[in-house]
This record gives sequence, structure tokens and C-alpha cells, in this order.
Amino acid sequence: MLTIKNLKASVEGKEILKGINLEIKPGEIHAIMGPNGSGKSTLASVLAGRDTYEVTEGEVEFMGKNLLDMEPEIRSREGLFLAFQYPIEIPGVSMTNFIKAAYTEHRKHKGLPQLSPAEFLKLMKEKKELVEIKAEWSGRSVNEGFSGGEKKKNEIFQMAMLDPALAILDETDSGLDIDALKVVANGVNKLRTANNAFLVITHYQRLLDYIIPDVVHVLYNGRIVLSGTKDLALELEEKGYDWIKKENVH
Amino acid sequence: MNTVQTQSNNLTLSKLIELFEIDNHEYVLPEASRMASLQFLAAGAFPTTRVEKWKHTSLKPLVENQYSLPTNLSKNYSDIKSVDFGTGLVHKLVFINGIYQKQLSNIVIGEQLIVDELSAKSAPQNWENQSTSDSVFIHLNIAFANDGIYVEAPANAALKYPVYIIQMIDNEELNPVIHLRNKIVAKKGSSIKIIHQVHSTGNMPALCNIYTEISTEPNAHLEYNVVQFDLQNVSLVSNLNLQQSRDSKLETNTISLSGKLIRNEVVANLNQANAEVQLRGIYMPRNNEHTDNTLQIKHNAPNCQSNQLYKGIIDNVASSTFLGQIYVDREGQKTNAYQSNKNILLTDTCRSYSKPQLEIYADDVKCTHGSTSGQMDKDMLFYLQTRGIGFENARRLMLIAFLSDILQAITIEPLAQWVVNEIHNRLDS
Repeated sequence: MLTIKNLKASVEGKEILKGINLEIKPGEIHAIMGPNGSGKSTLASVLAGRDTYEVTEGEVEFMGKNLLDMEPEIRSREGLFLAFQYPIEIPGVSMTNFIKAAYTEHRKHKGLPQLSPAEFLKLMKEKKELVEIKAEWSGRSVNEGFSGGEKKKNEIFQMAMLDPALAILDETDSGLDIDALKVVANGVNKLRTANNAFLVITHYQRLLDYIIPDVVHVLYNGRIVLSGTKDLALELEEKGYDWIKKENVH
Repeated sequence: MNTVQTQSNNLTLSKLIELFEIDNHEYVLPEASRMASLQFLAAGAFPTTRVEKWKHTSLKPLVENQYSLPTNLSKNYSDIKSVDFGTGLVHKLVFINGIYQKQLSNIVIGEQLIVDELSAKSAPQNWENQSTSDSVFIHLNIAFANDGIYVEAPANAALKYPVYIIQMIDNEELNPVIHLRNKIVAKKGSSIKIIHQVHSTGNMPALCNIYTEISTEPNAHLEYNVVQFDLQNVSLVSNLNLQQSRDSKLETNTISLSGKLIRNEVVANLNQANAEVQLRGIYMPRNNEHTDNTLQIKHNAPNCQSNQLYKGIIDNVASSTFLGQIYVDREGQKTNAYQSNKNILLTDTCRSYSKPQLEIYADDVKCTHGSTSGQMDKDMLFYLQTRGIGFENARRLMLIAFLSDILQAITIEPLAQWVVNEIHNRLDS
């Protein structure tokens, strides 16, 4: 589904990703862990198409297509979703108008007929229940005045609406209390199928108690330095990141 | 020296006044007022950017053209671009090149509303002279206004249908200079909503100089919406004078969609206690257009409230000016005065000037002001794009959202819808 080969990216001339290799297959959950500043969020941003990062080398193939050639909106319509670490507030744009605009573009891209207003409302209601979102959200502006937990739930709600092939969760657990964390993880687990995949970026092992990964990678200094099973996450939790740093001194 | 020669082709105030010597129109204001203004004008000149109030608004587009007196055109004007009210009723008052068009106008029967065409004979005592003004445009208007409308909501009348003043400029074949004067009065306890539209149909240069006076008596509520559009070759100078009595509420929404040169000058007088004024505006100059909103809010009495909210979207090499002065008299204790001006600059070559000014002589007041100018928020755009919303669509969503608090303040539903559509069309083009 996703094949990353020797991906290098820099910002303002400074190289952040120094040759990433990664392959994700349908049905898999991959976790990327690593200390602060290792390039985790940069990887998420580059995959989503943020233009502040310059890709200097490498290839990314997504569902058989060249991902790096696509505008961010096309990546989304092709089935890539990024749940933001810090979801953006957009005053004046209501949640309903926002998600409707996004959903409409996705249907159009896939050549599917648009839903009737009643069908759309029903779908929204169903997906809101998945992450225990209150009804009154719809009239509010996107993320405006939302608490940290509400913002993260809102990301999962959008993911549920757009039904991506690959969802990247960028530090979705940061700033969440244990109850909100369970709701978010539960939402992800319910959305999991044999045909979609998840890339979970996290600093702590905590989230991986609820979203069980098939593969855990350790990102350090712009490279994946270690890959293993979910036990690797436990080991990192126990030993911290220092031993990784020591083993990878340049 | 050389400068004198290069300026000689420009329109001067005296050349403009000469035009009217051959005019045989009846003027609206009494002869004594007119003479006083003519005297002022004889010694005056168009302000240059050396004059503080005109520092960021050059009259070059106005003075580099010549104008002529409008002649009555025998055309069929049945298809005038305007807000579609569908089956809804509206009092329609149509002016073409400054002259009232009775056959195109329509007053809904059964509403308590007083409408009078202005002439020297009809109620001149209602007119403030403004002879103390230092504005060339106000004096030009006093001297040469030859038509206008008087609108009154009688005491305690709650008007159901809006009053729609359409002021069309026909500059298809000629380059008219127009002076128009309006007076709107909301008597005690009345409520009324007004739309004042100014637009043009052609591409010849035109000069339009409007003076509007609005007064609200105790407990009256008035909403005044201005829409200015299709003025690509028009210099429009509009002076709005507001006079408020106690417990009255006045709201203005000024939507300037396009105009070669637009100057909207507002003087709001809060003359008695507990009066409230809400002044809002949207301006969207593009190409080489310039839009200027110059406001002066005078808190002359205690416990009054004023709120200015102006937002601009500036494109291409266009520019805008916002000058907002809050003046609080010694009598203006417990004043609440707010001001906010926000601009989005769509290109690297457009400009926006914003200047708040506070002059406070009372000691127990709350005044705040804020001004921002910047580009569209890239983080917001990216967020929308990552959800599959295309760049153009995301940009449009965000710009409409930026204007949404002002758009929502327009309570005449067909007008609000029309403005949103016009803005959508603009953002698509």
C-alpha cells in the first residue's frame, strides 16, 4: 500500500529525514516511535504534502501511484489521511460545512453520486457516535474553542467520515487523558479492516496498549534505526531512548 | 514650474464648478446655504495627500478625468442589477445619474412610511447645512445636489419591508458628475431597515458625491446597509452623518465590492445617553482600485456604546485605507468604544493602511482597538487541503469565514444571500 524508499527531506536547507525506508501492507498497523526531534512529525508532514519541507531524494509509492507528485488534496482523495498533532482552528467555518465540503470532494473524486442531505446527516451521526462526539459540535467552527481531547476526537471523526486507506496518526495521544485516549483508540480499532492500514506516530508506549501494532519502528536522527514487534515498544518504555542514541552515534 | 504644467490637464475644483454655471437644475438646499458653500469652494481645492485625512488616499483617479453634467437619457432601464427579493416586498426608490425615477420606483401600500422626493420646496428645514465642514465634497454637495430622497419611519412604526434605494450611474456614453443628498429619519420608537446601493453600468469616468444624513430619535432602531459594486471607473465619495438620540440603536453595514476610488467617510454623533452604534464594513479592492473608510465616532453623552468592525480583502495592486477615530467628550463617561480592522493581503503588491486614533477627555471609559494585516493563514489552508478540499475551494471557504461575522450581521436575508453570492463570484473570477 505504501512503499517509502530512501526518503530524504529538509527544511530551510537542514536535512531532517536522511533516508527513510518503510513498507506498509493492507491490514497492518505500524508504529513509529522515537525521541523528540528525530523526524517523526516531519515524516507525517512530508507524506501529507506540506510544502515547507523539501523532498531532496527518494520515492514514495501509495496505492501504486507516485505520492510525491500529488497536491495535498489529491493525496487525501486518493485515501491518505493525517490526524494532526495540533489540529488547526478555523473560525467562521462550521464543522458541518467543513466535513461536507471534504466529503463531497472525495465522492466526486471516486466518481460516486453525492448523498442526499438526509443520508449525509445520518452518516455524520453514526460516525460521531463512534468517537462519542456531542451533537452540538456540528454548528461550531472547526476546532474553535475545542478542548485538547475534543480536537483529537474530531480528527478521528473526520477520519471515520473520509474512510482512508492509510491513516497517519501524529502523536494523537499527546495531551489526552486516559478516558479520551480509550475513546480515540476504540474508534481506530473499530475502523480497522483487512483493507486499510495505520501509521501511528507516538512518543510513548501508552497508546500502543490500546492500538496494538504489527510492527514497531524506531526513528532516530532521520533514519529508521530499529524495527521489531510490539515488544520493542515495551523495551523502549522500560529502557528509554538513550541506548538507541548511544548505539547510533556518528 | 514644471509641476504647474503637468497639473494643468487635471481637473481643478474651479473647473468642476464652472460646469454648473450653465446648469438650470433646481437645487435642493436653500440659496443662503448654497452661497456660503460656493464661497468656501471658491477659495478651496481638492485635498492632496499632504492633507492628513487624505494622506493614504490619492484623488488622482478623480482629478485625472473630466466630467460633464448628466443629461436625461431616454433609455429603457427596466433591467437594473439589484438584490432579488423574489416574492418578498420592498420599498424601491430608484435614481439614475442622481435623478429620481418615479416610474421605476415602488412604495408598498399600507406601510407606515413617509417618502418624499427632495427639492428646494419640500421640507428644506429638515436639512443640516454642514456649513462648518472643511470638506470640499460636503460643500460641493450642498451647492450642487439637485435631487435626493427623504425617508421617515414615523413614531413607533415598526416597518416590515426594507427601503431599497438604488442609485445607478449610467456611464456607458457619458462621464457624469452626480451630487445626491439623502436624509433618513427614524422617529421615536420606530424601527426601519435600509439598503443603499450604488453601482454603474458603463466604463466612462464618473464622479459621484453622496451626502446622507441619518438620525435616530429616542428608542429607534435603524439598520443601514450600503452596497457599492461595478464602479470600475467611478470615483465615489460618500459622506454619512449620523445623529443619535438617547436609547437609539444604529447599525451600518458597508459592503464595497469594487470601485476605482471609493471614499466612505462617516461621522457618528452619539448625542444622548445610552445610544449605540455598530459600524461594520467589508471592502475588496482589486486591480488598481482603492477603498477608503474614514470614521469618526463622537461620544458626546454618557453610557453610549460604539463598535467598529471593518474587514478587507485586498488583491492585485489594489490598496485600502482605514482611519478610525474615537472621540470621547468630557460628557462621555462610561463610554464603551471598540474598534477592529483586519486585512488579508492576497498578493505581495497590494497595500493596506490602518490607523486607529483615540481622543479621550472623560476619565471613566473603556476603549479598545486592534488592527491586523497579513496573508491567508497557511496552516488553515493546509489543514483544509489534507481533508481533500482543493486549494481554490479552501481559499474561498477561508475568505468567506473571515468575513462571516459581518455577513451574519446583515439581517435582510435576500441581501445577505446576494452579498455572499457576489463575494463568491468575485473569489471565483
